[in-house]
Amino acid sequence: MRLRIEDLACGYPNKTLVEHIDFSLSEGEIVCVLGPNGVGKTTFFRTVLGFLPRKAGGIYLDDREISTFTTRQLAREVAYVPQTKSPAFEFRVREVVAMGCTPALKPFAVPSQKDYLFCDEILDRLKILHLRDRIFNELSGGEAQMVLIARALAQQPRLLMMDEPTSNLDFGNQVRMLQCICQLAEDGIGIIMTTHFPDHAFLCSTKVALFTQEKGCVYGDADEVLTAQSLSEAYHVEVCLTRSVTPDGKTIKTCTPYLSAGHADTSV
Amino acid sequence: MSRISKEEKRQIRSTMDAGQRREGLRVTTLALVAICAVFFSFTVGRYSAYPSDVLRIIWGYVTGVAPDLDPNVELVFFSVRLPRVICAFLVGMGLSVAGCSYQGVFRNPMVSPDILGATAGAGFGAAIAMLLDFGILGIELTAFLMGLAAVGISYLICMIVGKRANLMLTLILAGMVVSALFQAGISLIKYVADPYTKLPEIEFWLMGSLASVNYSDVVKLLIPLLIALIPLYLFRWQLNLLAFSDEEAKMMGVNITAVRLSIIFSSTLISSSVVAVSGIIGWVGLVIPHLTRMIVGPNYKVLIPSCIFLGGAYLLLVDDIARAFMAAEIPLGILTAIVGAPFFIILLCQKRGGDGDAA
Repeated sequence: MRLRIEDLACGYPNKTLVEHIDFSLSEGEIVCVLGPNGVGKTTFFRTVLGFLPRKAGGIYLDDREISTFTTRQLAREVAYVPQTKSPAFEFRVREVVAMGCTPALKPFAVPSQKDYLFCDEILDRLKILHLRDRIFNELSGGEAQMVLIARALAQQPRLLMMDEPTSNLDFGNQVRMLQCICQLAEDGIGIIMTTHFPDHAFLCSTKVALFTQEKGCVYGDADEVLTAQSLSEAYHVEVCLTRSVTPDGKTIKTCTPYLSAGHADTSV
Repeated sequence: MSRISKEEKRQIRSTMDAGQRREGLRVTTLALVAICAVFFSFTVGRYSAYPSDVLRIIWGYVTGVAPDLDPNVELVFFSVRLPRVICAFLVGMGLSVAGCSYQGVFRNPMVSPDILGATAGAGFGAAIAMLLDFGILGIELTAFLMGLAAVGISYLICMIVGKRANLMLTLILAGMVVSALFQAGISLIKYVADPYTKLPEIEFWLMGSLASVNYSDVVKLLIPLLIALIPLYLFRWQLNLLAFSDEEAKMMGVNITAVRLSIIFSSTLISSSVVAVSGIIGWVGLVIPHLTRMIVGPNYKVLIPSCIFLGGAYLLLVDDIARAFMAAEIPLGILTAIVGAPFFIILLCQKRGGDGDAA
């Protein structure tokens, strides 16, 4: 699987938000989309998923223009994990996950026992089998997010588009979510996710697409793209990058902002 | 990553089977309730019949041997009660099914045929047709077109005004506005109608009644209902996915436009043919889907058949009260409002208190 985005420009009919987005993604890779509010991260997401018409450029999945896929075909390749919002009705978790089986169903069919069993396996893989008979609307933010990932996995996708998967989660759940995302990538799924935390890109050692007001989209390895300077410019705050060493000897970069409007030490 | 062991698998399967059995059991219970309601309704009325008489008539009909009964009983049974019972059941199930599908399509449990303007629109259409003597088919067709127009206008207003800001509320408000508009239209028609012939006809019909139904009304209800149930059956799973956002549903492979349009079309066809036959009967399409969802959960695969049984049974019983409670018939629309409004308030209170177990 290879997703290629070529010179994409997105925005609304009377306004272009970001242009010249160029990157590609293979299976097992993670791309973090970073950038300040209003720079067009969500617009970019909606454009790739085909909810918004694009202003220019091409999006190819295995060299096939993505707009030529039918809704059903696309749903078998790409799954979307939105930010959690309660649905209108109180479905059980197993029903919500079974909804992910829809693209694989015959037209006008309902999920079979086998489909439900497959969903149980996914729940088990994500270690949330105990939630199966709970009502989705009554789950906590972290649980609901995991269920939505389970639903996306039930589509057996090759690409996962995750819209701020760590927002609304407490510190521990954020870390667990990142672990889960890394595991999914190891299992061979390509992942595009938006996040507000540069640290998440460092933690998963991902590729980064940094959207800025001034320079548009900058793409590359997290270490190259996310420098104190680029982050300061993108978010208009003073930051410095520090390194910490984990007990098992790995070095991890972290981005630390500071509140006093003094000089930023841009050396790392 | 741990895989599920065989033993666990068996366990999961057995709990799942239990879940499905429970679902099946509840739907069967509702079906039994519906059958009892039908049977009971045959016995109720000005000319009361014993349950044994009803059984003997049915047995006689099946075997072809004339039952040893007062011929009047048989006459009442076949020419008055049977068409009325069938119509009441069809009206009840139609309104409930239309209500629950509207709710799914508009992702809003507070929506119903009355609130979206479908009934007012259909009422307006039917009133025009009655005023202009369009005949049976004409009434049904104008009712349907006006009903569709009303729902379409509500939806359009909502799209223009809403802009993603509280779609639910906008839709209800838009529906109320459109309803008010078509109600005004109905008033206008009543105003210009001949006060000695047309006006009473329109007025009584508007109050909602099944007092004068016959077998041709059964056909007029049955055909559009059967047509409308086809897309509802085909999209019974896809409708579930619409409970989430359009984007999510689309990314799970649902052709939203096709599903939404065909469901709106079917629900409006049902509501307007019900209005054309029985006048405006409110509240059923709101209360019954709520109640049913509490009993069997929100999955449309079981929700639709359950709504058919419970909605039919409910309207039958209300119609029984309408014809037996007082010497003169009480218009059905009045009764469903008297029963429905407080019932709905109870549902709302329960929902808030007990957090609504939709098991």
